[in-house]
Amino acid sequence: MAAGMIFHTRDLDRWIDRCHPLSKLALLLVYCIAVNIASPVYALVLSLALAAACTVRRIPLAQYVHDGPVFAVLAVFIMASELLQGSGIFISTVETLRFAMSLLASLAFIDCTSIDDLASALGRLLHPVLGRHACSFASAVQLTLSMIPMIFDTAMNISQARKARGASFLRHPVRSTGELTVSLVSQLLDGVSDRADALIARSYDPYRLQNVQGPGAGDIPLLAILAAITGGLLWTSGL
Amino acid sequence: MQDLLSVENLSLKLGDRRILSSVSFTLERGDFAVLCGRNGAGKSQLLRALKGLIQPDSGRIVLDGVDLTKNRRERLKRMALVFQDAQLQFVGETVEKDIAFGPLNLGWSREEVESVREEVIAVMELDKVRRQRPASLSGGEKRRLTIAGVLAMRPDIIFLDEPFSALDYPSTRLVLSSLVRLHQEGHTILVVSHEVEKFLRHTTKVLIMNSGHMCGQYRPEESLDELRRADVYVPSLPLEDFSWLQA
Ligand SMILES: Nc1ncnc2c1ncn2[C@@H]1O[C@H](COP(=O)(O)OP(=O)(O)O)[C@@H](O)[C@H]1O
Ligand SMILES: [Mg+2]
Repeated sequence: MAAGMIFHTRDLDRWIDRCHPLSKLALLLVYCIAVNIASPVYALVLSLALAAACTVRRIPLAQYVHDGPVFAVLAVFIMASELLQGSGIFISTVETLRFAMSLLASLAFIDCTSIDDLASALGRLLHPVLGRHACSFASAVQLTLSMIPMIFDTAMNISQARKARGASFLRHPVRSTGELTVSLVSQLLDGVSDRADALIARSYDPYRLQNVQGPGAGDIPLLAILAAITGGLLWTSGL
Repeated sequence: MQDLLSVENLSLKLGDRRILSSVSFTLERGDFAVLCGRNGAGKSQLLRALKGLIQPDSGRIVLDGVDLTKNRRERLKRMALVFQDAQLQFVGETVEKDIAFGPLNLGWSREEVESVREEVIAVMELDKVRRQRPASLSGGEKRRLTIAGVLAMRPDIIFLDEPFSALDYPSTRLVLSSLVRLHQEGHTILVVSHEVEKFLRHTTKVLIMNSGHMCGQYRPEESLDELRRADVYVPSLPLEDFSWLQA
């Protein structure tokens, strides 16, 4: 479900998959900032460009929509609140689009970036400044992110187990939330300690500097796109 | 012949509870041993203490003639433990990365890591799924991947905690045949399992535990009555038929 969507990382060997994770992260950040502060017209252009790129790259959009109805609900919510503020249909659509495109960009990023590689690259980047703390920072990022599927799975299991025993969330929302939280935390603690054992058993060392491939020629188009987006943003905002 | 692993009077308390009481046994190089005992006998905790995930209160753990009781790091490196719950042990995004995880942590060179990875993928028959996510594998493949993950670290001994639990007949056979192959290649293996009818014929030694005590170590052919006495299910068959690898 949600975990499947977020940690989907298809192991493909496209050009974008081989780019350096930090170039991709930089592009993601610049894109999200641009799409959110750009003029409505430029935001539309950026949206179309991303949609086209995702289509060409065959990002499994339908699956994302199917897996993440919560995001669709959020989008509707944003649209409705803009309309209620009397923003007019065009502006409301653009605002919703900004949100949707930030989301889509993140999904596209996750689709082509391995979390391990990203964390290792961050560790490498920060290593000259922070020394071994950079490695432990990278390990923390990696471990935290790898924990998210476990949180989803555990929450899902608990809620299904409760349903199977006839618990109804709607009848006792407050009590249910309390009980859910207690079960979730205690099961997660067990899970975390088991996971720590598994890591120790494989001689895991959070202070080890991990090997990553440096950026290469394949990153040049990516950086060109980044420059183009920034240029367009400066130009349309009249600087 | 000198014993590869010699455990002497190992005791362990968790909180107020006595989990292991003066447990002693030995494994020779190349042994394929099975450890039986009721639920709660302390088998899993014994493996965790040997491996170095918990420190025993007293006793000695001697590996290849060297006392490693105090040297937890060395034990972690040289003894492999495959946990009962396969799901918990996956640390890599793909099968390949998961297998390389341990060797990379041991600081091996890229070439060494790649060569051991290929070797282990071949031995555990994981070639078809090498690029898949561990979570997407079948039960039997998951179990073989957990074995592959520790095998890649070239341990002296491999402990497996209930490796056949929740596996169907074909998966059990695949896991069992990999274990038998590892044994033939000279690996030393200790399997915790009460399902002796599935593989007793292939073993070289039987250990029986009961509520924290080691009741004894036996040769497989002399173990059947002892196993029955320990409430293990033992069918009335000749020892040759205690194997799911036949036909
Ligand atoms: N963290 C713990 N604290 C206290 N007692 C424990 C803990 N974990 C397990 N035990 C107890 O230790 C005993 C042995 O457990 P275990 O080794 O898991 O048995 P098994 O032989 O079934 O693998 C059991 O009685 C169990 O209740
Ligand atoms: Mg157990």
